[in-house]
Amino acid sequence: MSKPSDLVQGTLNLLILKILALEPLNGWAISQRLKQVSGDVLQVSDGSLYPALHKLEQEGWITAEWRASENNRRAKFYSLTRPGRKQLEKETADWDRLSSAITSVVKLKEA
Amino acid sequence: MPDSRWLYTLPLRLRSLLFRRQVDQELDEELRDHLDHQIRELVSKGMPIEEARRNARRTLGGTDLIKEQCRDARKTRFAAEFWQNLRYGARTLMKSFGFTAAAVLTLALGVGANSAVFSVIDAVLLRPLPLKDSPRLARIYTTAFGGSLTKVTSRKDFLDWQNESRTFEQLGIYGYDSNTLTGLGQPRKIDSIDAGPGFFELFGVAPIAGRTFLPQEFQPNSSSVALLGEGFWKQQLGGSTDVIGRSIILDGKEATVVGILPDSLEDVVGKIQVWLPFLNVDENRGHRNYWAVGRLKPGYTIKQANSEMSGIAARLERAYHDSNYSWGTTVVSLQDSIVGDVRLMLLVLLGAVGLLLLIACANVTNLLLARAARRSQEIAVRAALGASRGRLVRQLLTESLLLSTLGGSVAVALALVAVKFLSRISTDYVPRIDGVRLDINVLIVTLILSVVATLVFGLAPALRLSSASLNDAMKEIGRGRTGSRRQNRFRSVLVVAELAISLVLLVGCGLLIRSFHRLGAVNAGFDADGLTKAQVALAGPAYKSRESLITFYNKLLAGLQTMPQAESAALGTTLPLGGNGYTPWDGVVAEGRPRTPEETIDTQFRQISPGYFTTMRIPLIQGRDFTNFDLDGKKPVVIVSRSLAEHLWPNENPLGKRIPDVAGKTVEVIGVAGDIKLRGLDSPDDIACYLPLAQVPTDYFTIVVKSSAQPSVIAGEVNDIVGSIDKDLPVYAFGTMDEVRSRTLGQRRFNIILLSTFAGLALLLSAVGTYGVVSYSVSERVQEIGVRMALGADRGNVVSLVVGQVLKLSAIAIVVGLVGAAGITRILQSLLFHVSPTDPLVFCAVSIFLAAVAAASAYLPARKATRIDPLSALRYQ
Repeated sequence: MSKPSDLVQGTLNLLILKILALEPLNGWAISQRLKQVSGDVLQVSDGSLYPALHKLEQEGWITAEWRASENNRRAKFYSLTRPGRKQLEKETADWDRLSSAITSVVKLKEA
Repeated sequence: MPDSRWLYTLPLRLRSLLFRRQVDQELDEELRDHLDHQIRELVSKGMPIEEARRNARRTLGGTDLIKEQCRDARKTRFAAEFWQNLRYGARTLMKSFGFTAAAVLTLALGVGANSAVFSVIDAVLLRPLPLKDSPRLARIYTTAFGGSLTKVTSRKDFLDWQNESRTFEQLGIYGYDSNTLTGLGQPRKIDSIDAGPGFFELFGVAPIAGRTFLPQEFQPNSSSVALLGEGFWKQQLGGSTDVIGRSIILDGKEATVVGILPDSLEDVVGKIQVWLPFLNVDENRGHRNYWAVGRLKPGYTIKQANSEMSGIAARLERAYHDSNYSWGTTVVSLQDSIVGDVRLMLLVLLGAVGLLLLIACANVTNLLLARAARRSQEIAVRAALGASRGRLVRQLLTESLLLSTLGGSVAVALALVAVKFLSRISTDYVPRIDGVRLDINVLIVTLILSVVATLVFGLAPALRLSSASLNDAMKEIGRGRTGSRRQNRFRSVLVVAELAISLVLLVGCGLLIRSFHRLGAVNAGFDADGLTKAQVALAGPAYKSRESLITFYNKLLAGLQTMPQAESAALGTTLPLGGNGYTPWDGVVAEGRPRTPEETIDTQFRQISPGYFTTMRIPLIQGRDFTNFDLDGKKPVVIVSRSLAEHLWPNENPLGKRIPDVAGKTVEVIGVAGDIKLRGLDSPDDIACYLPLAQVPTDYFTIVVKSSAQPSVIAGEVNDIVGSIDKDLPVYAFGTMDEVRSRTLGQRRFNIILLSTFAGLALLLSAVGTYGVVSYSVSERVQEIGVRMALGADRGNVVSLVVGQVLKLSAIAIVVGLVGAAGITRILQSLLFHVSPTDPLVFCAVSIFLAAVAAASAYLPARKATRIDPLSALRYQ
């Protein structure tokens, strides 16, 4: 089990927003989806997931509602808000710029 | 870009605030949910349930920490944390009670004193007068002989001003008078004002009952009417409105009361019992006895009115040379005329109290710094245990807030008490002081000031501490040294500043005190010791004729001679230090000299009985005193003061010379008396003429008795004697000349009391501050002192070492303070009497005093330091 990299911590907001853009999910499902989609590379510690979710909620980029879940209990489902969608676009663009810059440096041919 | 996030954030925040428990429960549920999912997954992969549970919990991590972080993310923990901080802060403050008490009291003193003084300044200087449109009200004073303020004008001049002025909407004239009131209980002397037409309307003062004067009542032969002043009406007549329509008898003449006037003009004209219509028809332009007030037209300024009136006065001077030569005018706003005299002193007090606040703030800073240094250990531990920097800062901030709120509340209480006290002791010396209240605005500023002060001075160390690296903090504690060198220097700088400021204030006090002594030592030209006085008013039909007055004098003097304990007694008008007395309009001139403005000289006239000079111990330089043979009908005589003799007949013998036109006769000089100060101790000697009462009788005069007996006994006997001649005569204003003399110093004494209170407080705070800083620095140098003593230094050496260092600081403070004082005390110039603002004696004495106080406050902690056992000091790690 590889440890989550610092980079992942920093871009956690982006990851969560994107996942929620596809469909509303609860905390557990978000962490599972992250693992699934990234092929187990991205494993976010739950200790940082929930505070991040609550922070995003405080900022107003995601909103939560309690829905009935499978086992007759209720679960807290998060979904993206409209301002959240805008924030997602912004963060995606930032990430693109950052990653292409890093790629350009890394791809430099050694002399 | 408009952010619609608030649609989501606002309800969320509200919910977190109002339904905190539910939100917490939801968080619990959410995390439990997560755990369940995790466990089920592990179990489905084949793990036994117990292991799955443990595994799941481990993976999730510390739920408490997660919850804490989520709550932090919610940002509303703030409120709950605030409450916790508050409780913790209160506990810590209680534990270090000495510090808390010192900080609270110091803060309260500085801020409270400022609020009190500012409230006074607001009530006296800033608040507009409670009269209609008061900024437009002004006084028109007369100036004579190149600017000296005579203030009063004549009726003829006033009428011309009224006709010609374009800047004033309305002018009013009034004059003072004294009357004997009979027919309403005991006969008494009252102060009255003759008010001109439109006077009350000019101020916007309406009667509380009845009416003011009608236009026809200003005609000379109309029926006499009067208004009663509110205070007099309530006090003497019980405040019943059926007094309107009744008659009162003033100076033997009947007048009908037509209205009651409120006391709203008291600050402007003084306490007045009865108001009468202005009936004077004096055609002589030179007879100046009346006061002029005016209301400016809207849009005109005092300056414009001033220039206009000066122009009018110049025209009158050209047109009427004899009466108006060198007479001018000056216009001042009514408010200035009332408070102008005390303005400087009040502003000086404001300055003093501001400096006091600076010292208080410096002390509080020192206290907070010392405390923060002592607590760095506690803070380091808490940081090690996981408190975030933000949390620590917030907690220290809350503590500062608590401290400042406490300080602010005590400041408010202190200010309330101080305001009450100030208004009670200042009634005689500060106009308009009766209206002083602790302003609500001042209150709010007080609280804000104290909060800001404590936050600023408490936050700085808090920020420094919380950002200091843990390691350093722990190391410093280990070494037993919890303050940095820079901090110590800063504290020393604060102490030097405090001492310097105290020095400045003390110098100010010293200068005022020296002036007071100089003034008190002035020779007034007479001996006030053992002199009792009482005033008599001969009123009523029985005293209309000159003969009746003279008969009364003789009876009175005969009666006074019979007093067993009196050394001597006499009668006189307006005794020395009693202010202006009768001064003839045109001055006096030597016989044979032309009556030109250059030859005449203004003279104070007094009418006296024989024995006056002996009783008052005024030297008779030449000639003789009046005797019982200087009677009405005999040769008119006069005794002149030395200064008058020198002016009228320089280098000649004045005896036998004559002065024309004195009380209608030409009088011959039979004696020369020493100069005395008739008006005040700080006025120059007065030019005076003395006339015998027997030849120039008057109905108001003063009895003066020289005796070594108790004044109350003498007063009683005088009362009896007058009563035995005429039981209906008011005898009033009993007192001793010592009191009169002392009262002329009253204003100065009052100023000194106030300024020295603040200077004393400043010195006290500085001493406390010095004590605190020295004790702290000594406690830090425990090891050093231990080493010194182990190496053979005795107690004395250590003490003188510490005290010596403080004296060095004081020396710096003294130099800085003296330089500051030399610059600032110039402001006090007009309050000083024959004392220079850089008087060397005062400067030296105050410097020595300050050094002594600083040394004393350092001595005590220094001595405590020497009690340290050298061995344990060295062992102290």
